[in-house]
Amino acid sequence: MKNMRKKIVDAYVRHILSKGAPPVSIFHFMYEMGESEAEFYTHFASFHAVESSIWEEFIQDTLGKVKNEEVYADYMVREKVLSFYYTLLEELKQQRSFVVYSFRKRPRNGKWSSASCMKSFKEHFQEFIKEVLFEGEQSGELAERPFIQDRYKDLFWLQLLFILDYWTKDHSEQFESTDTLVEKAVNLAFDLMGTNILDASVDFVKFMIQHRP
Amino acid sequence: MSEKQPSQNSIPASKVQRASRFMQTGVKVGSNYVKHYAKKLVDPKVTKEDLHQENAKDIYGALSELKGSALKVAQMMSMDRNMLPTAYSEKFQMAQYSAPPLSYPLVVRTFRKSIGKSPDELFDTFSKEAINAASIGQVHQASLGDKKLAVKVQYPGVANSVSADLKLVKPFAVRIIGLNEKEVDLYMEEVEEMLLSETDYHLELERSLKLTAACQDIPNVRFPNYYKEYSSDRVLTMDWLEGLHLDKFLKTNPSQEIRNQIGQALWDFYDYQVHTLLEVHADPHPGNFLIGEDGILGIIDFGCVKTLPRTFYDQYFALMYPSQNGGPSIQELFYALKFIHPEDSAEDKVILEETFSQLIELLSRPFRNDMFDFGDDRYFEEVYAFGEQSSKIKPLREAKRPRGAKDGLYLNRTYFGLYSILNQLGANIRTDSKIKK
Repeated sequence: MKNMRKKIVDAYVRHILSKGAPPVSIFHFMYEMGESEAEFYTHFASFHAVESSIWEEFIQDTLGKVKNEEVYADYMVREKVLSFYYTLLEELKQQRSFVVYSFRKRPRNGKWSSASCMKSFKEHFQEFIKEVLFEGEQSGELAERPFIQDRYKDLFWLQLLFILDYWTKDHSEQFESTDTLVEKAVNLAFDLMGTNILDASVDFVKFMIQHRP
Repeated sequence: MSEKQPSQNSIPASKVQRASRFMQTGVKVGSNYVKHYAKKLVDPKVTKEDLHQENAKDIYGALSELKGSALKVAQMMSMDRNMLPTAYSEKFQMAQYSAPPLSYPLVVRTFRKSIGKSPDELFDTFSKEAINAASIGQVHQASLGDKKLAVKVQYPGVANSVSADLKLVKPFAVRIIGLNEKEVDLYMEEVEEMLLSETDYHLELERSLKLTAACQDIPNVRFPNYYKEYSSDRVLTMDWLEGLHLDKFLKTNPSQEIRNQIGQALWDFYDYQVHTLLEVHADPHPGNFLIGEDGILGIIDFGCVKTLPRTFYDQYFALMYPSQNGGPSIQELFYALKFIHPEDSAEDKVILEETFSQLIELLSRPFRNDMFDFGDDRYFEEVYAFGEQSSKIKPLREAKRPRGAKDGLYLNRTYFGLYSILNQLGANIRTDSKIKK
């Protein structure tokens, strides 16, 4: 059972990478593999579902590895996020050609998130971010900002897409530029979310509005 | 220098940002000049030194935000005391000890990518925080059994940004510091080549092993062991040397005897390299030396090793020690080393010959005596005055071609860097040299 599922995924990726397009039909795809079409449906509903499952596996493997690291528990919140990104990039690198293909064809219109194969990937990611942010609030690493902080997880999703987009276009040796980008982007994000000049300004403006002479 | 420095938390990332950083500095320095002359109108006691101080502060601010190659250039200029007014070099020297650190996850990633294992898997302990920042990497402390190790980790992407960074620094060096453009070109070429070779830790490891083995017999000098199995192109592992950097060492008020001993070790080390190996640790900035409690000089960082071509060596030292029995004349050597070009006007040739003779005399003065007291500031004031004065000499300032072979630039810098450290040490030493025998 399990084995067949993996065989379908592998054959699908191989097809995409050698032909540059999805197979013409599920029937033909399964026929090439010497299997019946019905067999496909016991594992996946569509090719779209196959691709989604690959993305889901990326993030689950990544999260598993990151959290299993001995140092993970001692990490500050920003280090946890950094560690996540670096591990994810390492995972994606194993199948970079497929990632580049799948990532580039993601729909760009407003509704893309539900149509995209990255939907469950996104859910896992935001789950992780929520967890980390909660921890950051507890430890005081992040400033408390009602309303705004509810949007953080969406901003992180945009950051992830931005980093992946950069990575698919990165030509530097060993993708070192992406590493540097991650470092800077994450540090910037956490510097902005920590107590900083923004809080002091808001506090000041609030005071001036409430206590106008 | 008691004022608080701007912190180095932020690094402008893109080239555009970096360029605008330099422009801001340019504007600031410009306005410092305006301020200076305005102040001078009111208070004629305001000196040029004050202006240099102001400028240096702003330039340092800009450079410290750039890290990487720009920082390296600042370091190199800071050693070259005869090239920069004192105020600049003091500020620049501060650049040697601080740069924003890499996050630990990125350190782990660098290890995994280049060695295939994480630091935890390789060593018994490994410091999560960097202990020390170098210009192109940072140093972590590790241990293996009872051995204490220093592990240098390179910033990712340094090699790629070298050329771009240097292009940014160039106009800045030319206009703001007021160096001759052709010379800066030559200098930058050398710096670029050297920086690129410095980003290759494999090369550094090999050189370190070679030089360390060759210099084993020099008294009062200590080198770390290097560990090939824990090193890669981005990671370099060596023994942890205990000791203090020069400035901290001097604050402990060491005795004259100890300072002489350190100075002597330094002198012998350089003399052996130049005259026996024809290969020089061409980066004598104080950060590369650690002075132990036992008065032994620890030498680290062989990233910057300059090989001296044989012909250049012969010509250069024939200038210092004109041979008694025939051989080329001083004039011929000036031409051969490109200090003077045949195309120069007759008038310029006279001025240049005079200036360069003076330079050679200054540079070789310590060699001419058996003992030389580097603690004597008069010699350095003379060197500095020479630098100031020569920067005003027209054919030098407006040269269409660089003066002096580029190997010469390096060797001069190495020697002046060495002299400047010996001066800070206040060492009175025997200036033995193989070349005297």
